[in-house]
Amino acid sequence: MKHERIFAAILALITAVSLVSGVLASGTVFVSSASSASPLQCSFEIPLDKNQAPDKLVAGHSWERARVNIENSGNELLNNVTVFIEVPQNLEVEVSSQPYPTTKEGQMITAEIGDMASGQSADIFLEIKPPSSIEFKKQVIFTIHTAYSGGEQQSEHRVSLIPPPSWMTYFTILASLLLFVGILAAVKHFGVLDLFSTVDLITIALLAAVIAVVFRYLSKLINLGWFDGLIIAIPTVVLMIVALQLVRKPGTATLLFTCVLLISMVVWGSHIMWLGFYLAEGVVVDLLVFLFKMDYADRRVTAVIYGISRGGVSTLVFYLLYAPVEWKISYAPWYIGMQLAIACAGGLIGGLLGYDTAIKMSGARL
Amino acid sequence: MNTRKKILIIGLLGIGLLFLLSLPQGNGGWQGDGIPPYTIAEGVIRGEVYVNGGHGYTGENPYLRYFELPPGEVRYARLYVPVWNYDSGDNVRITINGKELALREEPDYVSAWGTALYCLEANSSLHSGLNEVSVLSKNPGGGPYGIALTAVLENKSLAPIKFWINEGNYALTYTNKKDSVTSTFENTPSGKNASLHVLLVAGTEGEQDELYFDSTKIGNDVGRSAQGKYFDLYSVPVSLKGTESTLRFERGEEGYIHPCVAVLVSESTSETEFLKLYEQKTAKGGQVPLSVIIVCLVTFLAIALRFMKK
Repeated sequence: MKHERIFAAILALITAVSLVSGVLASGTVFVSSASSASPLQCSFEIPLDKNQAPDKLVAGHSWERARVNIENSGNELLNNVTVFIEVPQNLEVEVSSQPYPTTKEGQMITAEIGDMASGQSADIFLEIKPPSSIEFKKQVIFTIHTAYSGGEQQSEHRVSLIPPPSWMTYFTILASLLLFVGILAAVKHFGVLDLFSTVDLITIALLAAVIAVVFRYLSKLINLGWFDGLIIAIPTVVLMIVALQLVRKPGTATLLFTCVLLISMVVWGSHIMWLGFYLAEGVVVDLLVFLFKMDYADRRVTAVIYGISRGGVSTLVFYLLYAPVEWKISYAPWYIGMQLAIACAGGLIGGLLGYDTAIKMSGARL
Repeated sequence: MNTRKKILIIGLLGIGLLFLLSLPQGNGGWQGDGIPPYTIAEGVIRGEVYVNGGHGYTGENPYLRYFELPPGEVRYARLYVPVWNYDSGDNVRITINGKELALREEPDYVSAWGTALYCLEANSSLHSGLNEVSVLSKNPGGGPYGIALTAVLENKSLAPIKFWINEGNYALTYTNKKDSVTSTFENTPSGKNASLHVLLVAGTEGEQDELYFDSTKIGNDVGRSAQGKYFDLYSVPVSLKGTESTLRFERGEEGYIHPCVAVLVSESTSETEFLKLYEQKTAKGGQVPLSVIIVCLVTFLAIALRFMKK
């Protein structure tokens, strides 16, 4: 009982922190070194996807779009405004057609804005490609120099380059395989697999097939916008709780999610790289079962804890590891926080529904 | 559990299964293999054909793209908006030079897991010089791969040209095990030089694919996100050898690649100008995958057997 309370408190804390960090991060303001005396305000935005972390590029990523915004915040007309953007040496840059005559010479982009009335703003777009490889995380500086009749200003904008996930990719695959081998060794050593009867294995395989095939298919039929994740999260947790209660063997969740991946590989062509992702959500639930003294979601509270934990772990593993590794995207903290909250909500609802479903099905073992 | 209750539960499960199998085809899920690019327009004109586009999946909303059209009168223009992660209920609102062109709920072509292509005629909305195209999309977790424009401009001071605009959206993926697809251009003037422009989406740099024109290899790793993330507009000179030319896309190592548009522009042997538009094809809707049906049936059988035994 003590464990449960501590664990529930930790989960509540994680959820709250994720939500708060989301709210805080969404208010991040770009800081420029522009002189406050200048009538021109300059801002720099990369990437333009609000869901991604601002001012961060993952090496090895493809082209990303940047926007330089210049605004005349003064009270007077500014004549002959010209913007010079110096792009860091290790970044590729391209410019496409845009409203202002823009030229590129090496790493220097020149945009002739012309006259700017009070309150007028202008956008200049750049296509930026980070290097395919860097050794360590580093910062690069975009220098934006703006000149106009009677004055000029300069500002610097720092962008972080995150190391290419190439080595992380290998590490992830290696770690996943080591985890898998470790699990197999543990299974053999403790004779866990012998504990599973044929009926248990059929039950797990059937539930895994429903998650991997039917739920994944159904999730594409329903469009809940931002809450799309709930469509698959809730029924997955329901079946996970059902599997725990019906099979009642250590390692059930790990086996279930491993089967989900194997079936997904065969049916949908999922990559073996996702092994670690599926294993992580199974292992965390099995560890919790062990922590709660072989409680196979026998109580509503443990069912909910397992559901939330599975949602939290899978979301964090995905957004903090797999998204940068597989898609080379660094998501914004607020977005990760929001997805974490949705996943935890899915785990909560799935845990409650799963407990009731499992109780009703407890006499329906195959 | 009494017999009446068992029959009721089995009946409900059966109804659920029937509902799943009767879901509208082509909406959601695997949206089918799609349509290979086919000719939607061809003609002869004194002038030029402008083909341009960019700039990859960026997540910006609205998605902005500027097109600088050369001098001439726009006789025909086709705007292409390939979109990632289309689901039923999503839409795109396209605005050109500040005026709304269309609000589109359904894409013209969709394949794979929601890779969609919206095609719009924009003849009267464009003019010579700079044009701003904006796409506001309602598509959580997705959005445009880019915007591409093919515009036929009449300019009497130029020599006559012949052009073919092929469009479609075909999923070459390891999932559906489709490795190649062809697109043909009919009545090509043999022996003439031409330029070919190909729009592909979802290609990945380093994953080798191949492009062939009349059996001659004209490109390697063409889908390499050269114009932006997962967006490629590949242009290459070609020579026409027969009265029918065939463009072949080979998937090679690419996991996913979608040939969408192919524009061929050649010197014309005829002075007679014409513009011929063809009827747009509609893709056969995606089917409920066999695996989904099998798993549903097995699950249904298992539950039914269990209730029968009790």
